[in-house]
Amino acid sequence: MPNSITVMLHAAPWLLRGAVVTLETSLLAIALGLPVGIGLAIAMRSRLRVVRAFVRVYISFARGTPLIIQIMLVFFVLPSLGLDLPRFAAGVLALSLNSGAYIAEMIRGGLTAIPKGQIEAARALSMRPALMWRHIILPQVLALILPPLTVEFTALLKGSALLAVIGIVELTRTGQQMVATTYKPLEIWLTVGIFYFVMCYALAALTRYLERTTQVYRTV
Amino acid sequence: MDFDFSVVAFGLPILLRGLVNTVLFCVVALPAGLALGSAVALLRLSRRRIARLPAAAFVEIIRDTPFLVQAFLLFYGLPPFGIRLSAATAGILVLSVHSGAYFAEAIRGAILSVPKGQLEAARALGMPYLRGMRRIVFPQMLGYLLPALTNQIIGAIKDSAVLSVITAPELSMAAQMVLGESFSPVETYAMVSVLYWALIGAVSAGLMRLEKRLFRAAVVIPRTDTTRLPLSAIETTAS
Amino acid sequence: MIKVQNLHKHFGALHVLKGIDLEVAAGEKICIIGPSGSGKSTLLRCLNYLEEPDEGTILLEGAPVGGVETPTGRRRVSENAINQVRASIGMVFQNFNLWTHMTVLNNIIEAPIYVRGLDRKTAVARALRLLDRIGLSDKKDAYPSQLSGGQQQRVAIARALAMEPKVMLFDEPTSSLDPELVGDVLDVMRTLASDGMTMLVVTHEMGFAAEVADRVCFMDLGAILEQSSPAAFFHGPSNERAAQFLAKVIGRNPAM
Repeated sequence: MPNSITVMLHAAPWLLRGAVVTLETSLLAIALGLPVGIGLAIAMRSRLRVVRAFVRVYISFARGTPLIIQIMLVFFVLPSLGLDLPRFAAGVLALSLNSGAYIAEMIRGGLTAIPKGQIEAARALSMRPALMWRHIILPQVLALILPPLTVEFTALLKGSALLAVIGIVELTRTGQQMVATTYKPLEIWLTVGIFYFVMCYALAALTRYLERTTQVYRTV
Repeated sequence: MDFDFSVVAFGLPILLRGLVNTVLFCVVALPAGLALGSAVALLRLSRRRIARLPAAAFVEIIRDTPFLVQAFLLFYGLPPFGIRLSAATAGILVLSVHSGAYFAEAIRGAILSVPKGQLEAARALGMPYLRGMRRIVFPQMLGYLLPALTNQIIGAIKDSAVLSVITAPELSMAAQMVLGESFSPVETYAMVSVLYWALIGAVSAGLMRLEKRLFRAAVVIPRTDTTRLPLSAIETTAS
Repeated sequence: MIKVQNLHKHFGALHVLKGIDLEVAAGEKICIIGPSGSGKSTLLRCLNYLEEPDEGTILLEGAPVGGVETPTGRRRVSENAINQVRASIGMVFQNFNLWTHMTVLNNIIEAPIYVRGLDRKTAVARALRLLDRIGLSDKKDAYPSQLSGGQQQRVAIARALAMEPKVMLFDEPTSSLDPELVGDVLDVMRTLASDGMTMLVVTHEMGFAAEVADRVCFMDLGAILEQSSPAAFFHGPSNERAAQFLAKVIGRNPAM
């Protein structure tokens, strides 16, 4: 038993470095996923049927296929299309594209929550659509989707574990390396689990806090 | 980019066999997960803290750690202690436990959606708690449960793809085999993603149809519930 | 028949019931009135253990309901015992609580069959008789969502009566009803009263209380401040808060 604790404590600093990479990938993924999601959400309301169909297919694919397959697709298929990205970028791109689809759905839900009267008031004041979006709609929607966004970020933290399969040295990959050197899979994977748990649990607490505090601004 | 269709001809049969395995994995793991989830949900709703806390901890731990890490823990963590599970067994096991935690939340949410007064009326009439849950809460809960359940089932199918990393013989693993022979990632992954997409699409559509049929029976004009009484019994109540 | 001694109940920091003492004889009709938050519903719900008291004893025909005070502290009665006692106490809720996925008939026969172990034939016969008494025989195969509030509440009363209880508890039975439906429910309750049922009714219907009650209990802030006959109470309660409450209520109901 004490031997196990020693192993876990020795592995911790390395795993911590891996956890930092995990956080990096997740933060980048959500930062890129937001514009993707916003773009998709706007495109959903396009007057062109082709555009709307494309968005529907995109979201259906992103939500209807496993993330690990999407990561493989981006990593292996993109080079044949001429885009040779380093593996870190490819991984983050896959996560962002996936996130974007879920964020688009969140925004769609958020848009329906905004009272129609606000948009009517904006139109009555002759606001251009772009201005309306930037000043009235998006700020409110972004506030509304803050709790689900933290849930998505939690999902990204967990999803980033799959980046190990394309060789990105985040927390899980570091764990694999540690197992290979220490031959103590149980201790290592328990420690890896603890790292993820701490990160995700903190985020879950943040989500609950946000849900409570944004309640005030939500109802009119 | 040219698409090599010979890879499709070669790989598709292998992938289809993998798809069958994925379906089999889910067919075994999902009911197990539902059973586990129901038990955990009831424990979380218990009056006693000694039942509530471990159940809540279980759900929180499973939901706040990646599925891949859980799979690694089960598959690689146990052999040093003598427990050597096959990849398929370990895969089904971790899939059951993982989905079980998520099912527990869906079930708990559905139970809490049933108005409190329904069960209270049952208890006030002297009905024991479990009987009240079974006869009164459970039937009403199903209507709330099905949408949430559909989401979790689809999640489980997507999670099963991760099991390829512990070499469980399902669809993604089959993809690795095809890749190893053909060296054509574009064609292989294109086929694999279409197969998953189709599977999830079909399951989703099927469950949605089931939802519509169940809801139709509960909400719209119901069939008259004849009590199959002999005429004589009705006549005696005419007093 | 019912004896309540020194009943205390807290909801967190809120002391909702402050040492309630109450005795109800068989066949007596008690109306409990008072402002909101006085603890009326909580008291009623303690009587069939839907709320767990913190202190005090409740006895139904000498048998404890829920908990007993022993020298070593409070001891909870067994689950089985609680269910058995509940079977002989009927309760009617403010929002009816009819089971929405079952027909009217099934609502009524469910408890007799599954709790009392009655066979289906007898249970149905009993249910049909009760439905006839409340005038809703034609609705036996309807679902609660197809009935008006007043009809649902009458069915709820029938459901409680199907267990042949010794005492009936009514928790603001007409408070959720549109005014024109209140009368039908009160009629059923009046019939029940004249048939000799022991009843405890928490209500805002002063006319009903004046007419049917043997005793009126006024509650405020967790204590029973006055208990008297309806005649005495409605002509002039001795307790000051009771008088204030009555003045406000009658001020709105000149018919009294």
